[in-house]
Amino acid sequence: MVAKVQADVPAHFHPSWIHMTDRLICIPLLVATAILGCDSAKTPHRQPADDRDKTLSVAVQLNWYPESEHGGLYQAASDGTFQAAGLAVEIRPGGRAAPVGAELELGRCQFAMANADDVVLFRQEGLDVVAVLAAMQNHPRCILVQEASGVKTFEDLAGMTLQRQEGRAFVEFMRAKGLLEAVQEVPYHGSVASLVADPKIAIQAYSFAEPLLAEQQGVKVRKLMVSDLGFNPYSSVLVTSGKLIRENPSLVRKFVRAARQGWQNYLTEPSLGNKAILEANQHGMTAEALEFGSTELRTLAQPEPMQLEAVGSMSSERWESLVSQMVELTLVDPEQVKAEDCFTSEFLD
Amino acid sequence: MTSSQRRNATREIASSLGLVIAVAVCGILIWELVVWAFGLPKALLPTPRQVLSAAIQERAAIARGTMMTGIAATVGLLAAIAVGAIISVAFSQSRKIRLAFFPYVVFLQTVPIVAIAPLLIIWSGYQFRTVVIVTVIVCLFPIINNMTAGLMSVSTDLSDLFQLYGAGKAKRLLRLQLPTAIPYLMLGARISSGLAVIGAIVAEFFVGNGSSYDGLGTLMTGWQARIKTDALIAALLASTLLGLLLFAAVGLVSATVLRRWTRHPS
Repeated sequence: MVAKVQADVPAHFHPSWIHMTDRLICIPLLVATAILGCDSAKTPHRQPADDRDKTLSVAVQLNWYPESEHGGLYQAASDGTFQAAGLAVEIRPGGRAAPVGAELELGRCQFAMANADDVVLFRQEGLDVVAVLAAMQNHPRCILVQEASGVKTFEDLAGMTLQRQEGRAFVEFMRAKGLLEAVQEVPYHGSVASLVADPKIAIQAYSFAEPLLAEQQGVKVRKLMVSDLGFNPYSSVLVTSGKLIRENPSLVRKFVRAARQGWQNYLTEPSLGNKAILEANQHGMTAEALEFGSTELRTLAQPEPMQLEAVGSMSSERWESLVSQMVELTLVDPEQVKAEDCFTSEFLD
Repeated sequence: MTSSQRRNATREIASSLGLVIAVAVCGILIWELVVWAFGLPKALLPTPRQVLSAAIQERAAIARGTMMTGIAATVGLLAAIAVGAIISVAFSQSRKIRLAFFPYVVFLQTVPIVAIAPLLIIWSGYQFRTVVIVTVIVCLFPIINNMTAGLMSVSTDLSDLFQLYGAGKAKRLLRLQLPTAIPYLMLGARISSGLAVIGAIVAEFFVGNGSSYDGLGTLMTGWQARIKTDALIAALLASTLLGLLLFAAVGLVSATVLRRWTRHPS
């Protein structure tokens, strides 16, 4: 958008035909680039499927900047777990609008990270995305406020300004509960800066990341867990496409097994994974934040009395309750999305 | 204009309108064909028909969003014209002022608005005013640049004439420079009319408010998060139409109210 702003103005500044023809020449070039671009993007997907003896290359698209929530993958990539499984894994950092569904559908990556509610939304829109491992049994989603705001419960949020990502299922859930009626909702900018600056501002957050970042800036914070309200989708979910599961189940099995091992290692001793995340995150991540995160997320990934071996598992009851909650919120059509299509535990043996 | 001239003009408009529609029809056919040929799912690229049905389904939200964004863009554009005209007059009066301040006007043009929008929110808050400020920043440069050029491009003959009659600075500005600059100003406004909508939508990405301020930018963010690509494209088309509407409105004002000065566009 910025590019457009800048491109349009000088064109009038020098209103000559030369510029006009320049632009006309650009169009076929752009089209050609787009076609070539699409083509080359498809190739890497086919290679790993045919190559069985050598190392298989796999790309994973993250749904956010690299953080503790992706710890298991970075751990497996740095402690040799992927390598031992014969996998060459490229982890692609995400961001504010990481096109996870589209990348999977186009075969530009083989796996991706998402939340369980995203999987349901993808399927509603006709994308064949399937969850194969859920690293977080309990969702870290919380609303973060300054202690000085006096907010202690969700009901106290009335009169506050809440920075959140519009369109997220948990926002709809809170809205349906009537918790946002007196709350001014504004976009989330991906940082704790506004929360720190103004006690009247609440932000959406992950319980194992932002609270520390805010406290490092010198404010005391309180977190209100959305899971306490009864909305608790799996998080840090590893997803792939239905197509890859049908065409190359052995690759999926190999990767899921290695990723699960990576998570188990990360929950036991996260230092290698954290070091890799710190290198991959150019977004103001700190070693302290990762240490805090990787410790805090243990109870979410492995709540009592779950054994370490069971980390990553999913149940159909959980998926069914999520789908029915999202149907109730009119986010999905029960005819279009079935809980049993959203996930498979067949690779978690 | 004689009646035959008028008939010719009508025919001209009809034939160019026909061409525009033909391009639209071809575009829609190619679009439909691409979706069909590559078997693309709706979330990646919906068909024109799916976009249409999404537009119908979401018509209330889109109409409201278009109105909100339209108001913000119009207010921003008008403010930019007013502010831009005043700055241009100041520029035209002194070479020193021009030299001192013009680089800062260029700064307005080059500053990445997406990067300063969060700052503007800190200074001005989550409200309509912030959207207007972003819009003004985006719109200002073409107006100042064109209007200043207009004020400076007075014909030397007329300038000599004014000097001969001993006209003062004020009279020169009012009777000679401003009338010369009006067509330039309107050209600048025309460029800014499209930018105004872009500015308003970018601002709404940051300011947008789910409960009390539902501009097109806010709608787009929500639909993007929900992977409602069909509704997203419908909103995109609405914003394009809004840009065209503003563009046409500026043209209409030039052709009617300001006709006396813009009849012979330079």
